[in-house]
Amino acid sequence: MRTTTKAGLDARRLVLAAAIAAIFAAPVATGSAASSAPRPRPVTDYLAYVGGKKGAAHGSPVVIGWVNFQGGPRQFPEATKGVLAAVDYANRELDGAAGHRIKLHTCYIAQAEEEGKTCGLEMANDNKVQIVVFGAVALGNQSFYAALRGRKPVIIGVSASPVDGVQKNVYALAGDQPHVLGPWGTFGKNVLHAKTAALVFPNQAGATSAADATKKGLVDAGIKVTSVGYDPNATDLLGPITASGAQQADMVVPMTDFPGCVNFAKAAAQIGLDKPVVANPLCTFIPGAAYPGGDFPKWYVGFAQSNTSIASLPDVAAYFKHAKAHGLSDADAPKVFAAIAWSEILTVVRFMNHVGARDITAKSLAAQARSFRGPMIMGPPDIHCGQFKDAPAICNDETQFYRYLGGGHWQRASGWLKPPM
Amino acid sequence: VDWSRLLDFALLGLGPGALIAGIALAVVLTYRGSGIINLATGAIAMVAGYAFWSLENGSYGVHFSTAPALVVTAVVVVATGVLIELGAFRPLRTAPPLAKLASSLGILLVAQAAVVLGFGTSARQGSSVLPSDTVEILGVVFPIDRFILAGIVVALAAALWAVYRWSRFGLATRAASESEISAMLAGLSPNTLSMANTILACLVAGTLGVLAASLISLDSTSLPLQVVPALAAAVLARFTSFAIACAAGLAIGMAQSIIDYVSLRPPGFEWFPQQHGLAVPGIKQLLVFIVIVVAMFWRGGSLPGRGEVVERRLPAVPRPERLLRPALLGTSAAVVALIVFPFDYRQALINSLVAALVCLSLVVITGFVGQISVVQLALAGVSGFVLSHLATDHGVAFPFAPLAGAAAATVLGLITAVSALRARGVSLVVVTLAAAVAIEQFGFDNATWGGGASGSPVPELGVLGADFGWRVSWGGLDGKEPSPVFGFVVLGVLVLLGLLVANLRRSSLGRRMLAVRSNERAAAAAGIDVRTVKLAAFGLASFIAGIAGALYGYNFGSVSAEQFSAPAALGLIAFAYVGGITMVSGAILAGLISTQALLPYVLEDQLGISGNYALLFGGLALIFNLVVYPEGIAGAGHRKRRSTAWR
Repeated sequence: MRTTTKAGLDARRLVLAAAIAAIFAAPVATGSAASSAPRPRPVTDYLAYVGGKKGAAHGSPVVIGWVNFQGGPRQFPEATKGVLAAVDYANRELDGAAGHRIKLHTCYIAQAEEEGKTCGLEMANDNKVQIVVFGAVALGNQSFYAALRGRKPVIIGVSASPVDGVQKNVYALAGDQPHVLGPWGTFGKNVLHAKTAALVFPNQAGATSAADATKKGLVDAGIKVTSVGYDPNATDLLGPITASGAQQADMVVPMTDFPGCVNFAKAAAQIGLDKPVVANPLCTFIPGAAYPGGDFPKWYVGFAQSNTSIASLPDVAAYFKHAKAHGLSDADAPKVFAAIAWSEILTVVRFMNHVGARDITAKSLAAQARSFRGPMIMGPPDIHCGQFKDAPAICNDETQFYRYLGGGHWQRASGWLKPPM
Repeated sequence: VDWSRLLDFALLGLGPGALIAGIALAVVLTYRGSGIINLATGAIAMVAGYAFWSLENGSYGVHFSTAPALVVTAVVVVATGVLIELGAFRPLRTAPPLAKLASSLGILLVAQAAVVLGFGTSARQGSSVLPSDTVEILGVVFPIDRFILAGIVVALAAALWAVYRWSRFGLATRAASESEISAMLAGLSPNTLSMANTILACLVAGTLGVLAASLISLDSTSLPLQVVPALAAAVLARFTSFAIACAAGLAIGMAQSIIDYVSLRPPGFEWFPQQHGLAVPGIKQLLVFIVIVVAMFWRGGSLPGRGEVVERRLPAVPRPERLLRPALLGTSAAVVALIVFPFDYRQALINSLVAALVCLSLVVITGFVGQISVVQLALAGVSGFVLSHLATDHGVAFPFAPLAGAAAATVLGLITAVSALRARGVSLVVVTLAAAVAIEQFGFDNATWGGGASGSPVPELGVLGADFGWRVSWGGLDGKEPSPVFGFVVLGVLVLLGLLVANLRRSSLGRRMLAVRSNERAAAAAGIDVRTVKLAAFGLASFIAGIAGALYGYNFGSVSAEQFSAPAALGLIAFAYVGGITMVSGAILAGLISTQALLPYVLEDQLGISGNYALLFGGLALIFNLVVYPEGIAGAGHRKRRSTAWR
């Protein structure tokens, strides 16, 4: 008899963090609007990426800790499905991890901060676990880290919580909010040529830090911003949209949670808002049928990973081919956190292959994470953990932008962009 | 000041205001009919919205056009109302208000879980029943559906007023509300009237749930959460006046919209508080709280009483006869368990002990004095955050940091008590609920004085270099963290405060508290200073909550807003009631069944009941326990032992 009231009523807040975390998944690493340096090609050869051998693994099991946000009213079970497919793929075709069969020690956070400590203790107390991988974890992070105490490296694809960035021995390979939202300013200035922006966000912890980071990026790019924080329980966003001056702005940024995405779209459609809207990828997690007109609005969306909605991208095609062959369904494969999880596990396999079968320890794996420079599968081209002094766990600050054309079609709107200087 | 802009934003707030007003009307209806503050009113609107969506989208194999879908939705809503009345409200007709409140919380949990399990977590886009044209007023584009929705709600309020003013059914309801005995003598059935009013309330909420499709998307949280501002509107209406509830709901929506504009610091509002260039979080919630408190003082506080056949009191408060033996037995068992249990069960037990401490504060304030306070968990949070900032930012050591946290909680608790001098019963629930929401969103969410998005770290518990926290190297029989040592500390504090509360019940002050609980006027006539007794109770309960908050921080190594949220507080109160809110043993039972405590962990670990199924199971179990043990499990146990002894 768990006190799950928290779940129902509170889920929104949790989702905010997860949401805003998600702010970062999608397009491919070809070309850059910010850098003239040649960029690595997207990863399509997984065997070369992990540096292993072809064939099934037969060695004794090596255990990877897996923590995800699932089981509650808001959840991302697709991340676990992505991980299971990746483990199956590695065990059957990539010789596991340095010849060892991979096993998972899973722990799920459903709805309460307290569950973070339980998971942290589980990972800390299991001596077989040398490395922990996060799926979409937006709740319980503080308690988790307090329990784990940096004794084992934690690999994160996209950080879903502001807590992650300042932790020791944590590696958010694709970045976090404060860093990946900065490119919204670069995109507004260089691509949309915006002078003014309207920013709308739910006024509560998690969302305000994301709004803060977005605003900073826009202001640094010389864009004048009018930001309005609405009541997180608000249902009708007509007032906040109007207050933000969206109808007169050059670009509109809804930095919202799940309900906010749809409610924003609904209010925007009702008043016929025709300004470019640059949303976060969280809004793409919601089925198109939930939006007015039954399709995702024709917005721009920024991602810090490959856009899995574009099956023709080489790295996405490679992912679909292998992941679906190892149990990931057609419905789950395009979901952002499934792709991130797939990428994370194969990256950990790469680390284990690099250190070798006899030296798979927390220390050696942490060293591998620190020295990893990318590109990551369907992830940023350049990765450098520890490059930000105020956020040692963050390894990337680049984002790509895409535009939705309707009917399931997307168009690239930019290459990888860095935040404005 | 640009008054035309203010007018624009007031009009933009009509839509959300209408939603709040409509749900407030349903809340008032339920209260008038059955005396229950139905926290699930928004959830009923959600159920109606999903039913309508399912029918229109052919989820059950048949596509309905709008009119038949509306009719079938109405049938579903009526069936829901009947189910709620027969399953939860009627069995608790003679139960205390807190039991009824907890049962409505159970309904909310069940509704949310059912929707998530049935429809998934993705939002759904219902088709709008209202026209989607727009109109331009003072240079701003308005969808006309907001005006229509507001008009419908106003018409509903007028119709309800007329029905309750002029019809035989309305007069009968009012008569039963005034005196059930007189109503029964006149041939009226309070049960039938309650059923009719519950169904009517469900229909009003359901109407809103269907019409709201033009404003919001369907999900498991948006509509249920509208009950919070709706409660504010209902309390302003003293849970009686449809006109005031409607007007207040509309006004809250309009005021919130105006705040959206004012938060930009336009001319005349340069004073509006901002942080990092953004509006300070929680301003609106703080405003709602202030409005409620001011309204309480202005309007005289308490709600109109209802004349029931059986006077509804809180459960009995048995005088603890023997303290030493149960304390020693319980302590010994807990010590053994802390050492022997595997690490995950040990952690669950420690969680239980900390939760039991918060419940202990509820025993004092609610069980002994009858003040239903929802703010206790928020006070624990205040203590936790004060501890965190003092210890982490200023290096203040144990025991000064946790004591300062408990002192801060006590001061805030005494300020809350000022409200309790004017409000009591369900009014106090609403005031303290608004306070809890304001503290959470204005205080805990704030990055400067709260925890912001990341929470706030709390160091390991230690004294003069000696570690007493859960990281101590001795890890019990399995040798793993958390160390039983921290469990012993929490257990020691729980035993001490438990004995304090048990002795309080036996003391002169305890007897005065019970007298105040029983009848404030009679207590005052007997020479008891009601004000002082209430202040003492709030002070002590807040201090206990403060200690619990500090231990909570030490337990998890951090504090965050989620841990002390208002919904979590409601859940804890519900479990405190189920455990037995008038007894120390009840607080301990409540601790064992609370979030991440021993019983839920066993259910998850052994039976795999977790997540949404735990939500469903928890809601059903809550209602079942309330119906079977209206005095709580501990109270029922005590009564059974007593009756056995008499034989």
